[in-house]
Amino acid sequence: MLGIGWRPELAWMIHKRRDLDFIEILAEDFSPSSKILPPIKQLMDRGTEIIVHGTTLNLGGSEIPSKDSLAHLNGLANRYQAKLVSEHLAFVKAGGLESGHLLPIQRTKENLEIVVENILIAQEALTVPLAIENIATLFEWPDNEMDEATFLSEIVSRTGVALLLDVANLFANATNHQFAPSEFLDKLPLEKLAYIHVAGGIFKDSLYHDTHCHSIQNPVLNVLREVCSRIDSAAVLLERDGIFPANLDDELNHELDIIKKLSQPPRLCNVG
Amino acid sequence: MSANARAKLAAQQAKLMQCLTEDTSLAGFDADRLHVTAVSLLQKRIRTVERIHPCLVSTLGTSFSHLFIEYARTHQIPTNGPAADTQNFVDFLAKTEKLPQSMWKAYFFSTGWRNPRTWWYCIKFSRSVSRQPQNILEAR
Repeated sequence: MLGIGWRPELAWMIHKRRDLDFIEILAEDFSPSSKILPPIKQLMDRGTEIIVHGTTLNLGGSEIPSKDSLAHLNGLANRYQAKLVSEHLAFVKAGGLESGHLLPIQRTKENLEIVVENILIAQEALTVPLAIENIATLFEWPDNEMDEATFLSEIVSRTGVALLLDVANLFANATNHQFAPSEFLDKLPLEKLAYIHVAGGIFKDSLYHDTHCHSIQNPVLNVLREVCSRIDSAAVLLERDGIFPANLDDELNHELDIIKKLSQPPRLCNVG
Repeated sequence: MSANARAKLAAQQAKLMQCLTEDTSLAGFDADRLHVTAVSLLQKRIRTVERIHPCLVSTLGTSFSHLFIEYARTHQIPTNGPAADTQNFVDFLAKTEKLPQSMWKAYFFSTGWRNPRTWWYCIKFSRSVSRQPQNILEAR
């Protein structure tokens, strides 16, 4: 399955591309009480599945997920007939301050209990299944008690939550914190994989930045290739959030073609 | 889960958030990586405002980033979302008299009218803007 994150700047390009099976809408940009935007309605009418993707539920935060945020996600899921809501394993606010982006939680047994409880509360409130996504980080907390893959796996096994694997984030962390993506994948319960994210980024001063504003780097595609080789079929979604040059349609179409090829199971040939 | 564990996590995350917001170091963390993260958070914040208000960005041109960084030094991200951040930035530009001339009128009719200090700027700049088309025609 092939998908793309719906953004107003990409509406025409998405409309023209007829082989998209699903799109994500950003929960923070939509209202459950507003009319469905015509370009999205058209996609829904032609059978494109919708996933509601949130960034501010704060599942890795110290407070339990807010009822308003959960009601918002639920309202959107109902309005857009979404079969899934996805969120990040991250915190975005603390001490009255907002980060504006996703920050990692320290991976301790005590914090694991908090995250598990937050996710169980969210699952209880949502009428559709929840998937959680690994995030890209440029720094690590001191005194982490477990690696990221173990932390994620524990959460999945304790809550039954589905997994949204971002291969660009996995590559970013593998590069920035020096581990092998294959070791990470070995520990993940891939049977709980709902779908995959892939996005572009850049190298800067030996660190990889997951910008969502640049083209996809080859090593990221290699991680995607490896994930796809480990599962029967993959649903892969491309994300592009900024820098929209004039030739963007060509660039994104090219990337979608590559992703489609990688995510389709290899066919038997020359049989018989 | 015990309230103690949540309180401990809250304190820990608040401390980190403060350091990232102020771009300062924190014991136990790699200082360079925290700095890179602080810069990256600011860039993300700038990109978000760029998406919300492209007109402001194109009007300010190359000075947009510098002005936003100046604004961000004294203004935290508001809790009610990026649109509020954008509005605060516009208010900051108006207060510091750096709002582009062509935007004063719109600013005045949206929120600026609440502050009598902005009335003068609105009258002054909307006159100069309203004269522009005539000037262009005359130039031809």
